[in-house]
Amino acid sequence: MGKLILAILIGVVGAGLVHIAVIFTMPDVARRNAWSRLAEIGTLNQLVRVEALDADPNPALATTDAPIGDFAFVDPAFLTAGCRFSLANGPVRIVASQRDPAFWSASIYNRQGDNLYSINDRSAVDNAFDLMVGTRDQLVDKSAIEDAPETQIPVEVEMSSGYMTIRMLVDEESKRPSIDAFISSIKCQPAPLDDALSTDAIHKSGTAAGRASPATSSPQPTTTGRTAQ
Amino acid sequence: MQFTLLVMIAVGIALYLGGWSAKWAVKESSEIATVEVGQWKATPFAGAPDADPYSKARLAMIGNLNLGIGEGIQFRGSADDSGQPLRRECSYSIEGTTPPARIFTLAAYMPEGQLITPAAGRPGWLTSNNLMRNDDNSFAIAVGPTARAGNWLATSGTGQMILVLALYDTPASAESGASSLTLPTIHREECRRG
Repeated sequence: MGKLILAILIGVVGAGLVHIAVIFTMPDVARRNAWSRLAEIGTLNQLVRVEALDADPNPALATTDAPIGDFAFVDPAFLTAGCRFSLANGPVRIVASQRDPAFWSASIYNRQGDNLYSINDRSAVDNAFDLMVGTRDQLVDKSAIEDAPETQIPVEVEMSSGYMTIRMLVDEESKRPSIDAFISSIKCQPAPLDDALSTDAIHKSGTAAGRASPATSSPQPTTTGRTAQ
Repeated sequence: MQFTLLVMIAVGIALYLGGWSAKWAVKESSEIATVEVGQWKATPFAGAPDADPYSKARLAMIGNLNLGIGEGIQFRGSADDSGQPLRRECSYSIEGTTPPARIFTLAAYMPEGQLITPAAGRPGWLTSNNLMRNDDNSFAIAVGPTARAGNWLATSGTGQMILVLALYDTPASAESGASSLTLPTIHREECRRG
């Protein structure tokens, strides 16, 4: 009898350990976290749209549309997009080639969903969305190789892979096309340190975007014909 | 033989009780680190790197794209000022002011987070930019299935709903700010029968 009670006591203590272990490993092993849900609708470095789930989905429409992701409580007043990226082969540049005066807000998360960095249109330089995401060493190496555009913001994070989300306010329906174009112009592109050809290409296009006049009232500053001097 | 049986009992209790309690804790831990202002609730630190492990586990389970701390804060209202759950067939008036924020939005969702989309042409969400306000900067919003003058958020169908008031680019999401805020009140007006 004493042995049985001892076994039960050991079991209860073990249950405590199992409980703690499960709670702490859950963010790493959960199959339905935000990273996995983004993976369902797009590949690495691909920009995907996230739309609000419909309470009364129309089955006739649901099959024809592009996948919208399985996220709850998505704000319908915003256009939301995201991309997953990996820092294994160097930093990643997340850049929108257009500008738009509408309110936007972006965040960077690691794979477990910890929010590591946030930026919005007011804290950005000249309202440009241009982030160079990498570890400390990667960013130091990157800045040694080439001059970043003035509007580019280096984002130092300690992680191997993560995801970015950007939300952009559509307060008037007439603004939706230009905001849609802004979202579509966002690219999450790896900026490897050793690949001279691609860094050069990124550098040129980046310089062009950086030189677009901030005073222009056009939401879509032209980037063609403005190459590095 | 007896020893094997005792070991099996111990291991069985450990795995079953441990797993069950972890599942229960994640489900019930929504109250941890929750800020409550009137009828509105928010979890401002969900997704923060230094959040408690239960919040992290919960976030991994529900897989939301939550707002970063610097981005804003989402308040969810699931009951009116008399404590009754919000219902899609009832009309409510939301009156008061919000903390300073660049933008706020209001939308109605199912309890699981699907958006309630009313019939075409009806406003399914409101943004602060398009809101009509009183002289003292306060506002009144009518929520309900029947059309109203002024600020109106349309709902449809029947069942429970959750109103989400999302403040963007606001000091209210900072650590010290959240508990001393004033948010608008939700008052039930009438319910459509049938």
